[in-house]
Amino acid sequence: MIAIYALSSLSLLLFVLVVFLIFKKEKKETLKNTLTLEISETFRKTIEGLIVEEVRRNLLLLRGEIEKEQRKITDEYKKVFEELTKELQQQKEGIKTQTLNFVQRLKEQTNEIEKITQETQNKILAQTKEKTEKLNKNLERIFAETQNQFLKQVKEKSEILGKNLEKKFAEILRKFQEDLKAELERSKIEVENYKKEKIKEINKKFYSVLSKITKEVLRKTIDLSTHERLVMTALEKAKEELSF
Amino acid sequence: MEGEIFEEFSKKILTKQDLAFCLDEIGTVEKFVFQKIELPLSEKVKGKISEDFLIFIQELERKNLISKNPERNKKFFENLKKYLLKIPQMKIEIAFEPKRNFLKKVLGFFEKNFQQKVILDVRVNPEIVGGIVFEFGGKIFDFSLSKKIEKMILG
Repeated sequence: MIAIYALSSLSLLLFVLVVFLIFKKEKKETLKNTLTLEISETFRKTIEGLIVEEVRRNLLLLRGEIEKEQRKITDEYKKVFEELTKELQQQKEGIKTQTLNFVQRLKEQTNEIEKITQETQNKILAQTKEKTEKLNKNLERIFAETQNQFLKQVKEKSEILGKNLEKKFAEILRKFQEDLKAELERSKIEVENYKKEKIKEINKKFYSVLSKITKEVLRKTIDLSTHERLVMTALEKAKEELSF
Repeated sequence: MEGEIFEEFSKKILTKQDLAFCLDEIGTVEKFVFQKIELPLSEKVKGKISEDFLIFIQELERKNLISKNPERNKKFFENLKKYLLKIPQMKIEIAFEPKRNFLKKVLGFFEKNFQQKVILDVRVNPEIVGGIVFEFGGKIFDFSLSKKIEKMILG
């Protein structure tokens, strides 16, 4: 309200000033043709001073009004802002609560699913275990039966085989002993023969060496005439023996 | 007559080597039989054969056993070769290199005892030490000293 007042005062002053200036101009123009009332310098200065003072005062008032309005507006805005902030906070809280509720529900559902899964798993495991146990029992029974049967057969066969083996073994042992004895005898004879053969061989080698030495010695000692004599003697002997 | 000549001629042949040499000389003579028939054979072969064989041919010419008839001469030498090749050979082994006189003695012994002319096929083998080894009629007779020693030592 004050601002409107100040603003209207200011407008009035401006209007006075404009009228004055127009008047002054018209007066100047009139003065060209007519006589005009002159305003003293002091009056003009006083008027201008009054106007400036009035303008300043009005401006100050205007400034105060504006500041007041500004504060008012600021306060209003602040209030709106606070309200908005409060509302936002409330909405945020609401969303948070909703989110938490959702998470909680999700958690609960997950737990529920887990629980159901676990239960199903347990159930399947229990069933499997039961079936496996049953199967195992059957298998064990079949295995035990088969094993018993097999063992029984093995036992029977072993008994028969054992008897045969005993008999065979006795036979083999007897034959082995006989063979061994024969082999021993044969070896003894072989050793004896080998011994004789070796002795004979050694003797032969010895006499062969002796013979070689004798021949070598004689070969070196016999001269030509002896050779000739030996040939003729040999021929005479041949004549006697062969009766030419 | 021819037989006597051959027999006499063969007396000079003691060994297989002698026989080979002699056959070689006969071969040489035979080559000249049909050459320059106007010349005596001894003239044609002079210097081509040994002195002994040349003397033998001259002797034959002198006794008129060979003449200027080349066919007859050829026949004569062919017969001589046949006669010599028919003489039995006796392989002997002795321990030393024999002299010719000794070989004559050995040959004499065999001819006397076997009553036939033989030619010696001599092989020198010091391994037999002494004595003689001979082969006759497909049999070997060992009268070597080596054999005696072996008998004595090895039994």
